[in-house]
Amino acid sequence: MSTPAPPTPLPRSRGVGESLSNVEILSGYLALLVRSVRAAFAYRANTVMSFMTGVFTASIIWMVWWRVYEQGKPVGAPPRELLFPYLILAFCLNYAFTVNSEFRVAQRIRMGLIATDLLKPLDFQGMQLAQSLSDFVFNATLASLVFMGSSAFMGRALAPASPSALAFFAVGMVLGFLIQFGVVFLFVQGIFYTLNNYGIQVARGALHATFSGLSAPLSMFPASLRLVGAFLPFQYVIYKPVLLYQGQLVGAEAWRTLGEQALWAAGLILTGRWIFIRIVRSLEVQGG
Amino acid sequence: MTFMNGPALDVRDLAKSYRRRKRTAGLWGGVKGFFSDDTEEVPAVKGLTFSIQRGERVGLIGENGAGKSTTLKMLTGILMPTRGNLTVLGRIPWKERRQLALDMGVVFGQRPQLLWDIPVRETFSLLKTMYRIPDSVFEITYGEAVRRLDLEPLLGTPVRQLSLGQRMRCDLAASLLHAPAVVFLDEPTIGLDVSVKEQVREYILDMHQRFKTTLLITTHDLKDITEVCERLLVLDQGSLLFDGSLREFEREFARERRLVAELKNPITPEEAGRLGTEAARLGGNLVVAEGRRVVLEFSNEAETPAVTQALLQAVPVVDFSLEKTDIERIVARLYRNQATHRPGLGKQP
Repeated sequence: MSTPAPPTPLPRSRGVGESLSNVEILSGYLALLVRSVRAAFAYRANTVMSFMTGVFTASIIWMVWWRVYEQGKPVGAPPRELLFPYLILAFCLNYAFTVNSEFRVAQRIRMGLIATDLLKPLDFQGMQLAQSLSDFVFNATLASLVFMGSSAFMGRALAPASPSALAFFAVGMVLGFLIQFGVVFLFVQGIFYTLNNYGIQVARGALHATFSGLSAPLSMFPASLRLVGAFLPFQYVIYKPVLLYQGQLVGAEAWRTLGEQALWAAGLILTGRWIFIRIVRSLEVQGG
Repeated sequence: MTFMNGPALDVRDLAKSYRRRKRTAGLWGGVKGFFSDDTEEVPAVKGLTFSIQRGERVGLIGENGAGKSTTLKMLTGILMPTRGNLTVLGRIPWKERRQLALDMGVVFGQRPQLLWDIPVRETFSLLKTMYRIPDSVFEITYGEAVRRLDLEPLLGTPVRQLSLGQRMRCDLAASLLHAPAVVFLDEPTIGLDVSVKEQVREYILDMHQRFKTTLLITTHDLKDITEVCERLLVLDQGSLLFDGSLREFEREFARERRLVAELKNPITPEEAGRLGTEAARLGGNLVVAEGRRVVLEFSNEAETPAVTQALLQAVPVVDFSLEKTDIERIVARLYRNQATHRPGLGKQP
């Protein structure tokens, strides 16, 4: 091998041992978010297929409800003018909140790629949040198409109950996203033990589908299920934010809902963090 | 110890054991394993002690399963040791991994750090922001990587469309963009063709010269060691077998030399017999006697002029050369005969 001429020595990026400032760390997460959104556009056919499948499945549920209401309003059910906007909003929120963390992290754990994530100067949970936010940005864009399309048909029925209801909903949606992220991140920890996302994803998906109010408002559920749901975070992801939008939770009740959401979000995220720190200490990166 | 002083890596009695579920073979073994929680402790690294000064270029070699990757994972902070102490640039890796990441570059030959679905250029730009690399440094590290590793045609290509060699070159560039003080390279040339390997080694050396980077390379390709490193650590079953310079390693383990000769005429059985006897008398062996080619192997203790003279007297020679045992042969023999060699091997701190 030929010996190259000695190159000019250069200054380093920064002094050895120096840390990043908070602003620098935040800009790192933002950069990751932007690149992740960019990556989400990579699979056009997959995006179209999963979106169409989502819309198709939701349409079936709406058609079933339509048929039920044709026979007359079920006892205890909300009026049709509230139910169908509820179902559309629930679909849109659910679609926007769909994050791929379980699949993404499982792949990286199985292939040992998690090692490269842990060697970044950013926090792993923070990077997962940035990537989940990118999922949200991408999916919310698609969900908004459904919302706008439905608004064209349903008009004012899909409008927020009032400007304050819209404001409560906006905050509730942000907190709902954080709860969803917290739940998913918590379940992701299980993948470090199971080394496979399937069981974890199915379990979390079943709980979410049942208790988030995706297919029907929780007020229509049997009392026993409502009781169980009250102790779980899922209703704060979809059910409660939609009620805020529709003006069914106002004043003190709305504030209380936001408070409960904030507590759930903080609790879940901090618990996930606490568990993750312990898991990393006993981590075994797969492969040599 | 501060970040600015002391060795780049300081390792004391470092050990790591894994807990593994006991499994038995076959379908029934699989069923039993599903219901059983029986585990066993498997030691991977057993009490390593060494230190590496700033700016040193060190190779870490050993057979498969010797504990190289486990050691590297502990040094980078992604594995917590079972026992012992280690610091990298004065920091404890598993406790201060994120802070250390700013001063550390890591290439895992089989684990790309590039984002799979976006063009290479985008990952580089992401890393620039993530590591807060100043423009003045980025211009050099990025520019040099593009120039020396021929990355220009690859920059616009999504990583998933790159070949292994292309991806490795990009990955190496990505790991060095922030001009880290310490770089860990885990099989950086695995699966690459000869010319790309050369490119990669030259680039590593170039970056070392520019930034006085401390390098620790694990590899199975000993050319990575001979061309890049000045010091060698040899691991065997989790223990340090040798720690010293390449020269020391050769001096200690290259126990024989070879005299390779081209003859004027094809060698006859009588000549071969005579030469073999004479070689044995001088403490050597006739290892090849085919056609016009003859190879004599003899120990370092034997006198070269005497062996050469014996050869010249036995057969008419057109040309000859004296060869030292190359490092690849030494290491191969070392791996084969670990048990025999272990007691007397190398110096250990």
